Amino acid sequence: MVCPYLEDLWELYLLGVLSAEDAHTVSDHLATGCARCCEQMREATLTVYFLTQTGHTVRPDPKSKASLLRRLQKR
Amino acid sequence: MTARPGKGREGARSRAKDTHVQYQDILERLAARDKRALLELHARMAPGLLGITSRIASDPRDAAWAVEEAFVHLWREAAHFPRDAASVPAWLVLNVRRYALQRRGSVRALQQGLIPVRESIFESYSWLPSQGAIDQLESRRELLSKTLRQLPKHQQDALALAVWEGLSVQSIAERLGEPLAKVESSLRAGMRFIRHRMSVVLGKWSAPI
Repeated sequence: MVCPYLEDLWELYLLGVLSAEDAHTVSDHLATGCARCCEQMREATLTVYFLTQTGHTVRPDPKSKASLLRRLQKR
Repeated sequence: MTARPGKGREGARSRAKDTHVQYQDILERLAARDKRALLELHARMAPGLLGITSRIASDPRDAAWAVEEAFVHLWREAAHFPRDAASVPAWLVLNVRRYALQRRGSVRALQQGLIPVRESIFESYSWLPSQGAIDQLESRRELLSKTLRQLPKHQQDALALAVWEGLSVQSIAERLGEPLAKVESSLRAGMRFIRHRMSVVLGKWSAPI
């Protein structure tokens, strides 16, 4: 598998859009440690971060911090 | 009294440095098991993260669960988090999406046995952008957001189903009533366009179009 084929796939891979076959192709290639593709993957992660941000905020429930602390104490 | 960063490029650089230092400090305290550090991070980031999970999950309890799960996960992993290299906000954003989709039960990977692959991605810190890259993106977000509105409607629709519903290309094609090849081509073209616009706006990528 040559790297240029994968250039369109990084973000779609991170989003979970790809077919199982394509997803395995990408993960198998990443497992080789290809430096060029690892760098592109980092750039793709930034793109997915950008796409996932909504710009909207929702005020958390006032009890959410207490709930979080309870979860930590259980650990 | 601490001098406030000014406006312009120098000011932005100074603010970015401040942000980086603040997150480094929080991570160090998390690694030292300081619960107040987690609560500070929660106060800072939970509203934005809930904005993301509320778009994915129809039940507010599921949206809140996804955010809490990500913070508990971060608490567990804080000692291993690469403080200098990776962005905590980026990790949280990517992971709350994953948890919200898991809760929604629409993660295709659950059905296809791909969880180990996906888990390994989100457990891998080496893919995470630096805080500097995140700060740069945030400083240009308004401009970048126009990019999404410039996409043709069919690309916007396909992308929204991928991001917010976690659908596979096959499921997106079924939902939109379009041929699989067309949807796949739309998604790839949309991503190429976004990548190119980001390379121009952020001025540092080598991604070809």
